Order: sequence, then C-alpha cells, then structure tokens
Amino acid sequence: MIELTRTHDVNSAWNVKVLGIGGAGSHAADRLTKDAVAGAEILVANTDFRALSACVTQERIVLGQRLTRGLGTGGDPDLGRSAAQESMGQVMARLQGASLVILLVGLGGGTGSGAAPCIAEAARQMGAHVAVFATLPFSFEGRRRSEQARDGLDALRRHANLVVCFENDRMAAVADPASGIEDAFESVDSLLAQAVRAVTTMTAQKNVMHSGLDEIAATVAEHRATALFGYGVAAGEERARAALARAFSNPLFESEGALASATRLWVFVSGGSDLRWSEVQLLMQELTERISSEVRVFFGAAVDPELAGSVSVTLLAGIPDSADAGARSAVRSSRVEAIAYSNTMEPFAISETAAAASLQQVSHDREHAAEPLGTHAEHEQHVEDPALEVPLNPSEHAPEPLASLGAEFREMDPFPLEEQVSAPQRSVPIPPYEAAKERRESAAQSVKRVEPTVEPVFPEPIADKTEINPSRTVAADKEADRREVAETHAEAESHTPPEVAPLSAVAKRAKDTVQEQMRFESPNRGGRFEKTDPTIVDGEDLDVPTFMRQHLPLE
Amino acid sequence: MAKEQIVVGLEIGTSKVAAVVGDVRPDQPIHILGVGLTPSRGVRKGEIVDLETAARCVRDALADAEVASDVDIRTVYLGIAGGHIGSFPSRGSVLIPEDRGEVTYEDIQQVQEDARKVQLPHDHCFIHSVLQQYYVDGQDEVLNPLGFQGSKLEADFQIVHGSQKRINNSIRCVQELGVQVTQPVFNAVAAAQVVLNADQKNAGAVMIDMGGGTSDYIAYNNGAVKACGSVAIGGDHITNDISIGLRLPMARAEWLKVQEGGVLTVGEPAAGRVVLKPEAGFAGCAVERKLLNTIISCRVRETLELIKRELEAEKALRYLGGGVLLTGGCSLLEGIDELAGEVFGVPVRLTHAHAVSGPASAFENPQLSAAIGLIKYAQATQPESSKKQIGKFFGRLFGR
Repeated sequence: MIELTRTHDVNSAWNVKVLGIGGAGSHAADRLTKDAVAGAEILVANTDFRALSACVTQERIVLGQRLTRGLGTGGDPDLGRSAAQESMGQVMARLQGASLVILLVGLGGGTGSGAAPCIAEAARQMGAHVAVFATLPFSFEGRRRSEQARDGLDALRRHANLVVCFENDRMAAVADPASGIEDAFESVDSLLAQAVRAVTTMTAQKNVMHSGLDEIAATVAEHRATALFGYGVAAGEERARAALARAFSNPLFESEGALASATRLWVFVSGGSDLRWSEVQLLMQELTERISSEVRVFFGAAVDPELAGSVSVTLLAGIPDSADAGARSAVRSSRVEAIAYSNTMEPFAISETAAAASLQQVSHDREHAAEPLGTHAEHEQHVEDPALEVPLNPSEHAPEPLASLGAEFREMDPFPLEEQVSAPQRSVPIPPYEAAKERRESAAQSVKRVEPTVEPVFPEPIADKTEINPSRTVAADKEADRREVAETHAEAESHTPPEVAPLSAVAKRAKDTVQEQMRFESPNRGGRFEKTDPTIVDGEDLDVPTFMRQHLPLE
Repeated sequence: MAKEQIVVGLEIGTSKVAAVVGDVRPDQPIHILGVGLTPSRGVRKGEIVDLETAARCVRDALADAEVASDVDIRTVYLGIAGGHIGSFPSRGSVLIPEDRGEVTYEDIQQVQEDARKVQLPHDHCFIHSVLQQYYVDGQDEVLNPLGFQGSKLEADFQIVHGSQKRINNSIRCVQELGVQVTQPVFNAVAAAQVVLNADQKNAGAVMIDMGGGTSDYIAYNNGAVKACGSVAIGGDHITNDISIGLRLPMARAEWLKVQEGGVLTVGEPAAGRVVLKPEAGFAGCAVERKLLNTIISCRVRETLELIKRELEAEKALRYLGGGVLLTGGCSLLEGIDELAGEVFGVPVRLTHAHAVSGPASAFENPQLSAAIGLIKYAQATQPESSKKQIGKFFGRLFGR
C-alpha cells in the first residue's frame, strides 16, 4: 500500500479564531470556552458592556463604544452595523492572522444581525475563510425580529464561506420540555459548540481537507435550504450502528418524513484509532437504506485520538426550503447563478496553474467515479465531527475541486460532486495552500493509479422505495446516470469474489442473474453439488436455489 | 436369556458421520454406550463423492465411538440414504397345497420371495422388503398367518431398493477400514424404529428425517409401512441457497443458518437483522432476518411439498392419526413445525429417538435418530436363540 505522508509544514499557518458576536453569540462562545475546545482562540464582541463583562471568555471586544456607550443596540441592526464599523479596526486587529474565522451569532437582534455581516465581510477581505453559525429567533419573538434575522442571514451569506443556521424553534425540541429555560438555552449553546468543534476539527492541523469548508458549504446547501443536524456517539459493541441510531433519533434530525425530503446528506464519522473500516461500511450501508435513492450522500471520516473506544456520527441533511416557491427550479437557477456569481465575486487572485491543475483533477476523477472506499482503509480519513447545518448559498463559491489529498477522499466518494463537472470555477484558495495542493494532487494522482477496481461498496438504496420527492433535478438525473455506470461496472466484475455485497445490490443482481442464467442443469448449480447428479424433478434441477427458480422478489 | 450384544450403527451422512455403539438385549430398551460424531466431508446429498475423505471421516467417527464406549468395532449396520432410493408396493402370493391346508413358515418365506420377483430399476438392488400385511384367502390385516387355515397366502410388501453402485461405494468405504457391514439399512426405516412408537404407527404417522444431504421419509398406515423414500434435498441445500442468495461463503452461511435462521417470515422471529462480524477474508455484513428466513423457508417448503406429493402418490396421507414427526438436523430450524403443519395440514411434532437409555445427549440429538435406529433395527431383526420364532418373524417383517 502506498504510504502517504502528510506535509505539515503547510499547516503551520492554519489558525482558527472563534468570535461570538452579540448576546447569543457570546453565550455560545462561552460554552466553547467552558468546554475548552482545542485548537481555536475564542473571542467575544458585543455592544452591551455589561453582558460582555459577564462573559467567561477573556478576550473581549467592545463594539461601538462611542456610539452606544456600552448600552447595546436595543435590537436595531443599523445601530449594530454602525457600531461594528466604528470598532472595525480593533476587531480586525484581534482577528489578524486567522486562517479561519468562525462567527457565532444570534440573529434577530441588533448586534448580531447588524454587526456580524460587516465583520464577516472584513474578515473575508483580510483573507480568512469565514464560517458563520447563526441562530434564528423563535417565532414567538415576533415578525420584526424574524425579518431582521432574515436580512442578517442574507447579508451573512453574501460574505461568508459557510453559513450554518439553527432555527431556535426546531431547537426547542432539543431541550427537555421539563427542563428550565436556562438548561434549554444551554443545550442550544452546546449544539452550537458541537458544530463549531466540527468545523475546527475538520479544518484542524492534522486534517488536510481545508477545502472541506467550501465543499460542505456548496454541496450540502441548496438555495435557502434548511438542514437537519443529527449527532450521535456510542461506544462498545456495535457502536457504529448505535451512534447512527442516536444521530437519527436526535430531535434536531426530526422524523423520517423530513429526512425523506432531504436532497443531500453529509455524514461524518469519527472514531479513535481503533475505528474499523468495516464499521464504517456497515454504518453507511444502514444509512443509505434509510434514505431516498435520490439523496446525494457525502462522506467524511477522520480519526480523533480523543475518541478512542467510541464512534461518533454526525449527520447533516440539506432539505430544500419548502417555503421557497419553486424550490427546485431555484436550485437549478441558483447553480447556474453560482457559476456566474463566483466569477465576479472573487476578491482574490487565483494562480492559473492551480486552476489548471484542479481542472485536470476534475476530469481525471470523473473517470474514477466509482472508486471504492475499501481500498483506502489504511489512510486516515477526515472527520467532520458534528454535522453542520449548512443552508448554504452556493453562489458564494463553487466547490474547490479535489485539490488536496481530499482528492483521494473524493475518489472514494461514489457520488462525486456534480459541481466538479459543471462548475469548473475556482473557489477561493488561500494563497499559502496552493503549493500544498499541488503537492497533494500529484500524490493523489499516483495513488489513483494503483487502485484496483472493485465494486463500489456503498449499496444502492432500495430501488423500489419511492420517497416523497417525485421531482428530480438535473443533478439527481446526472447522478442516477453515474450510479448506473457504477452499477454496470460492478456487474461486469461480479465474478470477482465480492466480499461484502450489500443486500439490495445483491438482491438486484440476483434477480438480474436469474433472468439471464436460469438454465436447467446449468453449471451454476452451486459448486457444492457439482460432483453429484442433478436432482431433476418435474424438469427442474432442485440443486438450483429455490428462491431463484421461483423468482422470489428478494428485498 | 439376556445375552449382551454389542451393535454398532453407522450412518455416513452429508453433514456428519455418526457411529453409535449400543448394548442390545432382547425386550429391553437399547442402551447406548458411546457415540462418535464427526463432521462429514466428501459426501453430498447422501452419496459419497470422495471416497478417501469420507473414509477418513468414518474412521474418526468409529474411533471416537470406540473410545467412548470402550468397545472394539468390528461390524456395523450401515445406514443408506440418497435420492436413488425408491420404494414401491409389491404383492407376493403363494398357494398352499390342499393336503396341508395351513400356513407354514416355508409359505411365509416363499411369499416374500415371490413378492421380490419384480423388475427393479436398472442397476438397483433390494434393500428391504418391508411387510405390510398378510392375506389368507383374501382375509386382510393378518399379522401372523402361521397356522392359519387357507389355500392361498398373499402378502403386501413395500420393496425398498437403491442403486447398487452407490450402496457398494458406502460398503466399500467402511470395509476399507477393516470393518464389516452386516447389513445396509435404509435410514428412514431405521429411524422409524426409534422415533415412532407402536401407537403412532397404528394410528398412522409420517416420519420425516431432514438431514444434511437428504430428507428421508416413511409413512405408516395401520401399523405397516405404506410408503417410504428419500429426497436428495437437505440442510446443505439450505446453506447453499443462503450462500448464493446472500453472497456469503458457505461457512458463514452455515453459521447463519444454524444460529440465526428459521423459517418464519413474519412477526417477531423475522424482525431485525443479523450482523456478521468481519474476520479474515470476510468483511462483515448485515443480513435482514426476514430475507434469511425467506430463503430458508422457501427451500424447506419446497422440500416438504415434494415429500407430500410423493406420499400422496402412494396414498399414504389419508389416515394420519399420529400426525407428522420431524427429526434430523433441519428439524432444529425455528418454526419448521409450523411450516410443515401448513404443508401437510396435520399437526407436526419435532422429535428424536425414544425408547433408548444412555446419555441424554446421545439420543436427544435429532441428528442421531437414524444411527440409533440402526441399532434398534438390529435388535428387531436379530434372530434370538430362545425366541427364535419371534425373531424370525421380525426378520421376515424386515425382509431379511
């Protein structure tokens, strides 16, 4: 097996800073501080001086001290924006040198909705990736706040790489109804904290998949999609399945019905160094059986030494916002939009070589669409620990095509990103990483040549399970085509001993082979009975399995 | 005169080779001294396909039985099975000379030989002539016609026959180990000795021994064998079906069948899934129990229906007061009695050898029904010095 060495020198510049903006944001940031999230520096910023001083987090920034005199914005986003602009120099000074800025903000109020977009814009201009975790107000807070929240969200989407939304309404389900309100908000905070941990882990030093941020962003999101977030962790026997079950039963992940309308699903599996590939396979098998066949699944995995003995599964499902009229067409148009948009949007210079190289990568990987995961068992994969709700606006960025060793990862993905094909645009590579990318590209290239082709491991979800989304997008069509290609690959190779053929694929294949190969006294009686005379009764060879002769529809 | 006699029953099956050593005293339940049970290789569908390997397994089984029973095994009763075995009824008749006017022992011998004057399929030989009943001058249901007044003695027999070549193969396999075969016996006939009691035989019963390679059946009506035979489908086929259907290696399929399999496809026994842990050469997978059970029940149902058809052809299913009894390894499948009940329409029970004494583990194992039955058969057919007549009678009963 080819040993891949990670080049760490590139990562030395990687620096994550978490900034909680506004009251809600500071609470969430405090949660992180209390949980002592490693690998990130935590700051809080607020217009309300009293709230700020009550924070646990030591690094504090006062916004708009002159403007509001430390009294807060009173729920006025305009005030918040002005306050941010006033203190922008200070904020930027504190954020200087960050490669990734994570903003935590509760939308609807003044500071959050007003200041956050400005700060996001500035951080972006500074050259950092920006991820925003925002909460949307409860519906009972009134229409005004909801509107302000929406406006703030839109503004944020324009500037941030990644915007993750948590709707407070939905999150009320997270907390135990009998618990006190403080506990309820705390559980909300801890969810945010989990999400933040995800991003930090994903982009952390030991992972190479920096571009994962964009990838998640662009691929999980639909235009104004909401998302389901599920998180489960388990240890002991059958931990992979238990973790998956817990992730599914997470209140945020809602019912199966909601999941049924998901169009994309991001799965992050992380475990200790004892995480076994077979566990992951089993988990993915089970997962894909639960979801519609039209869902595009993206998979990420990583080894987190702190998780020794347990497995954590994070799910993030993108559901098109039903409130959007013509969501489907919007998706289509938004994708087109994305292509056009990102061209104009980029404030950074892109090196041509990197672009060309990644383009090559794209087409190369297209050929290997159906690479199995099985061959990569030895490589560490990348974990995104908690799934992120990513109602992303894809107009922000086309996904960065497989430029890193994440490319190796992408090969394994049996459902490769469609955007790679249709959106050859560049996303926004941070200049220091280009060199690293190219290095990794070449490593990945050599890896690819060695891989034997084996059947794709992920089973096709049950074919006849018609889910609630009858309409299919262009994306889904293309993906179905690609899957068929993968399938025919698989069937062509079905004589190689398939170690684990997932059930539905097997059944399907069994049905297919029955029609083709059903001959009496055929050599396909099962090697077991080759040396004996066939038992012929009523013209049937009884050594051939009964379910085959009776054409049983095996599910 | 309770002379102790050691009898060894040897069954060379598809999944296992069983050698049972028993102490046989007349009119007493047989006492099992020791059992040698080894997995069988080289046997498929009840027939030896690899003589060398099978011989090795037989030797191991005999050795184990010798150690367990502290007996030197010199002769065995050999159990025979296989799809080649067939049976059909035959009637023999002999005229009694007028001057004598009553039935003698010689007449009884002769009528049996007359019944054997039938055309067997090509290359087949007689295994048993199983007596069903005698008729003296048309009077039926005569159990022992000795001394009857009459002019004509007739008898219905069920002729059990099998392929000469295959039987010889089995005999040769044993002889190569220096052990003599006293007599080849059809497995179902042997098993029926210990599985069915007199009441069941009188009331009418069917015994089905579903083993690894074959499913042997025997039906009694009014205390006499009405039909018997062997279908070359057994647990091996179930395993093969599972292996093909679920794309598993045979060993895992076998494990799955034994540990988790059943024939019930609805309800709680069919719920959930079985996770196979990965191991060398196998990556592990999850199997829906319902799917597994569907595959199994499909095959089992087909086999049972096949047996039912065979029995119906012989009109053997009409008076079954005793119901159907299932034995053999496959009878351990969960829910098989229900399934068989559906197929046959009569109550079905799972059973094993009875009327034996010895370690319970020996005779309660349904896989050993045939091997133990061989001993019982031997007891039944052994000529006894003090009870010579009865011994002979039983001997005639089984066509010795």
